[in-house]
Amino acid sequence: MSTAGVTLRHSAYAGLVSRIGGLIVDALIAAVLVAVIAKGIPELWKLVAGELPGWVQTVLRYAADFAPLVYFAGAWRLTGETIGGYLFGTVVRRTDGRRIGVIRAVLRAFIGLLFAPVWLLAMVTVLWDERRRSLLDMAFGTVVTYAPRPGTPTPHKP
Amino acid sequence: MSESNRASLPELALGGAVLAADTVSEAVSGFARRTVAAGRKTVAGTIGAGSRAVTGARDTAVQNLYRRRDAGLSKLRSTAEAQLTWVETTIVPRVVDDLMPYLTSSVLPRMIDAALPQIREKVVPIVIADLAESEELRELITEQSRDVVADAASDLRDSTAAADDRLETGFRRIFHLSAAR
Repeated sequence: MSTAGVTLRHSAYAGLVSRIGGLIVDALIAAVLVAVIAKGIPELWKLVAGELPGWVQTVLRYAADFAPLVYFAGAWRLTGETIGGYLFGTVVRRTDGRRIGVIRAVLRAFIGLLFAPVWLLAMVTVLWDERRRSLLDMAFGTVVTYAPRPGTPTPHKP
Repeated sequence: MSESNRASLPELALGGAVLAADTVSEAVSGFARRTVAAGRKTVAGTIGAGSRAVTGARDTAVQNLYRRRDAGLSKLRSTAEAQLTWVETTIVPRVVDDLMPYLTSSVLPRMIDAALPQIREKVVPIVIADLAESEELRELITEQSRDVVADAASDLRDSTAAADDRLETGFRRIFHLSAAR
């Protein structure tokens, strides 16, 4: 398999354990993010400045709803790595090795979050796919590889 | 010759006497000059010899004095060193042994009690402030923390990557799938 002029072995793609590990961490981060925006900030506001204005409540509610989407899409677009992905050393890329674009990142995050249980179960395809792709990867033309380490030209295994 | 120009006998006698006196006077003064010159020479020689003798005696005396002084100093030093060695090996250990219980039981605790508040109030805050403001220490701590996190992340990645391979290998074996390339 060739991506951006570099031939990657099967073992260069991230497997099920790394991907689920990263996903669990990201899910926790997203949950904390939503809780902070939806509950933490209003409570803090009440303590400092009294009653929360209606428009602020609305803005915070929408911000909390979109926070996971922004987190996942932003991370995939900007670096290819979410915090969970960074911890477990996985990077989301297009099949040709390039970073994914804004629209693809937003759609991947939106559809992924909307049908999260379906995509989670459909990750089982990672176990037999040649490029360890999940159903979500197949749908959006992406792959998840191990992050390159300093001094190693190809990810994970030679 | 005329009669008037002829000298009389008394005049001749007087002239002779004057001549004789002149001759005697010159002889006496020459003898006196020679005698004085010889005397001067003798006195000058005597004075020079005396001066040389005095100078030689003085030099010898000074040299003798220096030699004796050096010898005296050397002896003084060796004596002092011997005394010091004796004091160090005999007196000092005994004094220290006798003093140590008193120092440890009485003097040191009092010194520590007196110094500790001062150290707490004045020295410790300065040391802490210096450490807190030390750019080198801060960089060291940051670098070490970063290294610890990086090492932990690296270990985690290695472990999960190995788990990925094991899980996939097991799955392929169970379902009789060909090994991935």
